[in-house]
Amino acid sequence: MEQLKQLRILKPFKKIIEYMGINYDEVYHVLWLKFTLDQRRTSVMELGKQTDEQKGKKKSRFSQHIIYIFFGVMLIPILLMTESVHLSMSLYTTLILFFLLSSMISDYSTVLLDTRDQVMFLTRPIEKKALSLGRFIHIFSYVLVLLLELSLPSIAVIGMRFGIGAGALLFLMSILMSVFSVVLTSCVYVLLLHFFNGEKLKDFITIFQVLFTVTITLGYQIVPRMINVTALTSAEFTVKLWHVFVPPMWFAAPLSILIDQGAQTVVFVMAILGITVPILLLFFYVRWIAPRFEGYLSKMNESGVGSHSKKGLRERLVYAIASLVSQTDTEKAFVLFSRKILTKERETKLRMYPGIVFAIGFPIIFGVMNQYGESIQIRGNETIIMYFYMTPIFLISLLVNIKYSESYRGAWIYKVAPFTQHSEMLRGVIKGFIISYILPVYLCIGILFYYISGLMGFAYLGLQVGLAMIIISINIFMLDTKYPFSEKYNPQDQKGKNLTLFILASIISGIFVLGQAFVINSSSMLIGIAFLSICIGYILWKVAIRRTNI
Amino acid sequence: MSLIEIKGLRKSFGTKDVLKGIDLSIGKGEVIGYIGPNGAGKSTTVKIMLGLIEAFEGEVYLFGENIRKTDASYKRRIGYVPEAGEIYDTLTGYEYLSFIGELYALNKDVVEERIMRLMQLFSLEDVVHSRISSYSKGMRQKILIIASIIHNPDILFLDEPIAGLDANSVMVFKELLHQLAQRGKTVFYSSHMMDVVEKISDRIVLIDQGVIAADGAFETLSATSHYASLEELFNKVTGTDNHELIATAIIETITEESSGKSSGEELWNS
Repeated sequence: MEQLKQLRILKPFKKIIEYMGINYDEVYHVLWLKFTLDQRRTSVMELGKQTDEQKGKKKSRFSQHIIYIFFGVMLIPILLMTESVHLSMSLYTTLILFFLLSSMISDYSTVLLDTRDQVMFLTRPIEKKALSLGRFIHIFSYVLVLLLELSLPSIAVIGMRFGIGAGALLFLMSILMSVFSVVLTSCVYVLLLHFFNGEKLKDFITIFQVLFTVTITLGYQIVPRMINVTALTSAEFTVKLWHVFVPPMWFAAPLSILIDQGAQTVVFVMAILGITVPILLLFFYVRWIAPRFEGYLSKMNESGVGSHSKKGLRERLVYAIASLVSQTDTEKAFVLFSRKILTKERETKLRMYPGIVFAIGFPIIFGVMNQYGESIQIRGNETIIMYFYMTPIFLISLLVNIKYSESYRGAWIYKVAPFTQHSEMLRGVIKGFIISYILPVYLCIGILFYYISGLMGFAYLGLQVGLAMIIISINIFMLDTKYPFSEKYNPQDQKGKNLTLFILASIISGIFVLGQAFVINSSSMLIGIAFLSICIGYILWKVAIRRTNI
Repeated sequence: MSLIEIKGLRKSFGTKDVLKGIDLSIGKGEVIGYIGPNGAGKSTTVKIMLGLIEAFEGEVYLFGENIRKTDASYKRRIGYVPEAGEIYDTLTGYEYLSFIGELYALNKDVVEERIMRLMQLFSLEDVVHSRISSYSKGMRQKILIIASIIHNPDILFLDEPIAGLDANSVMVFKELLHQLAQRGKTVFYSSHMMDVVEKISDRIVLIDQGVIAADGAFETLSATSHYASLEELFNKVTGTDNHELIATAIIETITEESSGKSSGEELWNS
């Protein structure tokens, strides 16, 4: 067992750890294994030799640190934006906490909820609390580094502007914020595991991750349109009593007391909360949660009693559609099979759902947002329809997911199965994808269009469907896989292709927009062109789907 | 004095009862063949004894101590080969084993000496410093076996320990268990390979649907009811003595063209 450099930091805390009644050596062993595995996580297959991949990984880890520091620099204007220190500090801590909590949930959940090390440590003379503490320190160290990279630029700026004391205080508050987010997440997980099993918890995490992606992206669009920056900088900011319940304001309070001096009593209360809550939470965690954490964690592998899935209306509908669209039985089998995988695998859902939400959400937001000053009106507002020509652009990056699966190793079954034509298989999978993800989107759009302009909405929907068929056909043309669900997901894989697809889709959608805006001037013409575009779409689809015998 | 004492052990996952009252007393130097159908609760029992599962009813004593009340130090005298064989394969064989040695707080020099000798005896001397990810299934299994005995434990919990081992290694391993038992070590061996279990164990504990269905030396168990092999006994007790009928029904099922109900289908449903 080699000594690890980063574990030297643990030494000064030996007394504290032993004071908590935990064996220092045991915690050291847990951390040794975790950090050693982290260092090696890159090369799975290679033995011994340092691969290029490994070097690349090191480089990318380094560049990630640079990105965080860059984000940190971007936060500086917020600190200097307003007159009120408390307001700008609160905005700042809100962003930081949001960032911390979300990265805690999306990046470190798997590390926090890893049960593999239970077999390693708990079958040997290692106490549960030592394993829990090791788990905590391991994650905390990553979160702390991340937070310091984010806040160091701000600490420097605050330090220069308001004195070293202020900088040091911000530093301290940053540490408290990272304690707060790690402990809070762990406590919430334990609470969830108390009531639900591990599968449910994983579902919660997936839902949260999708919501997070959607919030970030939509927020980026909405917030600048809603906040009037000039109003923010000039207006007098008054602290209200209910602000006490907003955690980010706690962490902003101490600094505003130091700089503004003579602040209100409420702010003092917040400052006390900001300092005591993380410490109390930590105490609570060590005393009550940590000893029980491992016990709860063993529930992760319990999936509960699988209830016999009854064939609901939706499944019967899917079956009927599958029979309708497939030409052979093999194809039908793959339609149903791919639907199961595409809608059940967590990783896949994580990549699909944001795109689906954007495909419907963005057109609505743009459509509604651009009604400057007027009261928001949806019914009869046919300009909103125009925005839906951007929908396919959000859908183009989804089809490629039929290549990937979490259990990609299972793909050997395609090779041993006696298919005469592999194209049947891929065709079925593509159809399954369309039924599972594309069809629901256009169903929603259809209902919305009907709401907007009555029966004529269906003519507009026809145009949309035609466009979607054309773009999806192009999408299929560019698909390069022989077997579905046979590769491990690799984000680097598709970069170039996605750009080409994006440009192509934008041009074609642009033509449709121009067509609707300038060419179509009567409803009979609208119906005619809608019919025509569906025909073109259908021909392209036929050609593309035939080409899938790669 | 019994090393393992289990009283009224019950465990349920959700609404499913896995263990419905297990009573067991195991002494020094016994080799227990712990057998039962899939999902009978074998692994659950072992996991409870190792402290991996905390929530259970009943009492479990190891080395005379109630495991609910004692700290983890009793595990110093236990060795374990897990069933799923999870192993941190980015470590080398040597690193993995020396880390295990640290966990048992063994002297560094002693551990190093033992690793080198054991890896040689298990014919792993060529891969001592290679990553476990490059090992074959049998080699990984050998690492797990070494990890379970390196601290000279008094009780060994083995869950399908010879899966993937070649015939020579299996022979060495069987002999190893035999000699360990002679030196007073207790072995708790769970497996589905009936012929191996029959040969190595001097006491069979058969668990079925969460209760102990048979307990005793194979000779005594078979003497009363004239079973030629443990396999036969197992099938009789767990209620699958109609294996011939089932096999015929399986063949009928795959050869029949029509989807009419065959005798096999009725058999499965009964």
